[in-house]
Amino acid sequence: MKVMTKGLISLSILAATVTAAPKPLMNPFAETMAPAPTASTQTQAAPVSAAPAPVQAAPAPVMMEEAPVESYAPTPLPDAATVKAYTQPKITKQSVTRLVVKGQGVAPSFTQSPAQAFALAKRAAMVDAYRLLGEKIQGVEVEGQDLIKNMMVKRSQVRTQVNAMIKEASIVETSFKDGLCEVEVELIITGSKWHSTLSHSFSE
Amino acid sequence: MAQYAFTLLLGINFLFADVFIVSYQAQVKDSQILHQSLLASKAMTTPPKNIIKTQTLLLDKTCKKAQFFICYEEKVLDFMFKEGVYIKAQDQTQNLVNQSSFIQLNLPPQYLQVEFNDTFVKMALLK
Repeated sequence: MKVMTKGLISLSILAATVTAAPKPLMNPFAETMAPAPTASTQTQAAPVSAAPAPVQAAPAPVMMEEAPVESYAPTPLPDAATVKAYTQPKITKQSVTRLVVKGQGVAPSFTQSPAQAFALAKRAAMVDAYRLLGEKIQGVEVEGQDLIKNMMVKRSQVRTQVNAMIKEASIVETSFKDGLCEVEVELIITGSKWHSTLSHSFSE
Repeated sequence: MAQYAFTLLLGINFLFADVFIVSYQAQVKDSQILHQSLLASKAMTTPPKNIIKTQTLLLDKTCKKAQFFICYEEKVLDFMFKEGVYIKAQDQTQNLVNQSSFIQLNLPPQYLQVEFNDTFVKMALLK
């Protein structure tokens, strides 16, 4: 009796698995595709009849809004006065150039007193200000590297470097708030003093 | 004649001054000071005689002569920075996120002549 019940159970499980309809494969584009015509709709769409079906007029095409055509006319060239002003040297014997930068520094965590924290933050802010002056005067060397694998950006790295010598910069203002010290440093380039030194790079 | 007299007076003024060799280096990483060192020692070689610039510093703190550079480090550096400092900075950004920012400031060794008086100090850069 027990053997018969076990056999019946296994047979019923086997029948259920065999008669179950196979599940369709996952279609990633199922949402974008139009629903497939079923058997009932196919038979209804093509009935056999003697009279020809009336020809329906083709639907009017949907007119998309056209994007405004941009003007392809070339930009006008600058006039001679603008070009001359741009190519003229910035430092002349009569010019005075004033560079002002604001450096920021944070106090380290290992300070023993607020005074030490302020002093160290101010020193870091001053070094940062000198770096900003170096960027303005000498320029920045930029190096970029992108690693693209299988048409995807894996890593994007940018390195910048500044090498400069700064002279006669003076601190204008110092402020310390919420652990952040800001130092304003200015550098005045007097043309009467520096023109003879820098004039080798351009001609008057 | 007037220039000779002025130079003689200036030389006599600094006749009993001490000459030091001073250098400074500071390293800042991610806006925090990582390391800074001010090295000052008495010159053991013959210093140059050309005076580039001078400055008088009022002594407002009570400290010994041997601790002059410790007490007035900031003012001495402000005076020496005007002559020129070297900056070297490196930044690294990866995937649009800043990874590290390192700045190094170097003040090369320079001769500093210091004349100590009771209430003030005269500093002169030599080259």
